[in-house]
Amino acid sequence: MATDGLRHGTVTAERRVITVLFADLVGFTGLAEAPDPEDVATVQDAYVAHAADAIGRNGGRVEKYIGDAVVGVFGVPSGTDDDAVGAVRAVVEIVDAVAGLAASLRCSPKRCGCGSGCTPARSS
Amino acid sequence: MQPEALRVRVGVHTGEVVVTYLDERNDSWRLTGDTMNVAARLQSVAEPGTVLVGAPTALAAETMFVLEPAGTPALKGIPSRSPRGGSSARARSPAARPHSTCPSCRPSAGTSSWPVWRPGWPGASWLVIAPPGAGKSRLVEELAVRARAAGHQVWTARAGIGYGAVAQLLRAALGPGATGELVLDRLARGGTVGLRDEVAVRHVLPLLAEEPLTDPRADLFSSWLTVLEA
Repeated sequence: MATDGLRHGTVTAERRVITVLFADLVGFTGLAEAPDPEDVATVQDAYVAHAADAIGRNGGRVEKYIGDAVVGVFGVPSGTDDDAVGAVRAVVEIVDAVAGLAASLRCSPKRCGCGSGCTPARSS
Repeated sequence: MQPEALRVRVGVHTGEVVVTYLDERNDSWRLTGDTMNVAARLQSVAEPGTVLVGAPTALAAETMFVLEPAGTPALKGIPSRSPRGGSSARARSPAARPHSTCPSCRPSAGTSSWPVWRPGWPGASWLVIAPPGAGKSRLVEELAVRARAAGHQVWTARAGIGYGAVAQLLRAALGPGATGELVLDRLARGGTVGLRDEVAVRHVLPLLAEEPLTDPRADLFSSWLTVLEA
């Protein structure tokens, strides 16, 4: 396998085995009613924070954000034998976090307009 | 907004990329390669609420997670025959489990790309060298499992610092009593010049001297291969 340590001007390039994860939040589109932009922003912020935490906690770095998708990389700038396991572990945590996020929204009094055990309803 | 409609769909893939460092401190970089595209495509074909992992990722992670086969999804722009876009698996376990069920990710018995000991074969040895994360340990474990299943006795041992084979290759390439100047000279003759040369020397000499290695393994490996190629 070729591993290059080539310099082109001021940049260095090398080949590496890495693990990449793309995690995209879906659920904003395709709804009968358009959600409030504030609601969307709140959920996006919480999602991104959870995802970045999960990626960092398991040895990865957030490469970039593309819309509602978070791109995490494991193995840059240095790798371990557990990069793939770390990535899958981060993914499982992200899936759990989104489930928790959905649950917390469902039970938010602001969202439901009632004390407890309510369903997400919009009156307007 | 209906919160229960919130789902995440995920694609994970493992493979080689070219990392182009954009500053001297290697703090920012650009990643190029099919691995990025395959991960993005896996995500785009994953059903909301599911995770699709590429075959190499499944192979590396299946001892820790419950995975189930997901067939060979058609990935836009990725040839379906390509091993990189090959069989995928769904991760569905919220917790780590000791074993997985991922038949499509596990090479079937007799697959020629995996060494399988057969009775009657003469003695043979394999040297497996690959960067961290490529699945060397997994390969050896799989071989041991098969050999055991075939009724053979299996012994495993880990020798020294674990890089003895690479040290041997480097000694053979550089000759006895290699110095930093010699390594730099070889690198220059091999056409690689730059900052990483100094790093390579720092990574090669302790290996030859059998001193403890503290730098990240992938960095060490990268340096060793650069010197070997030069």
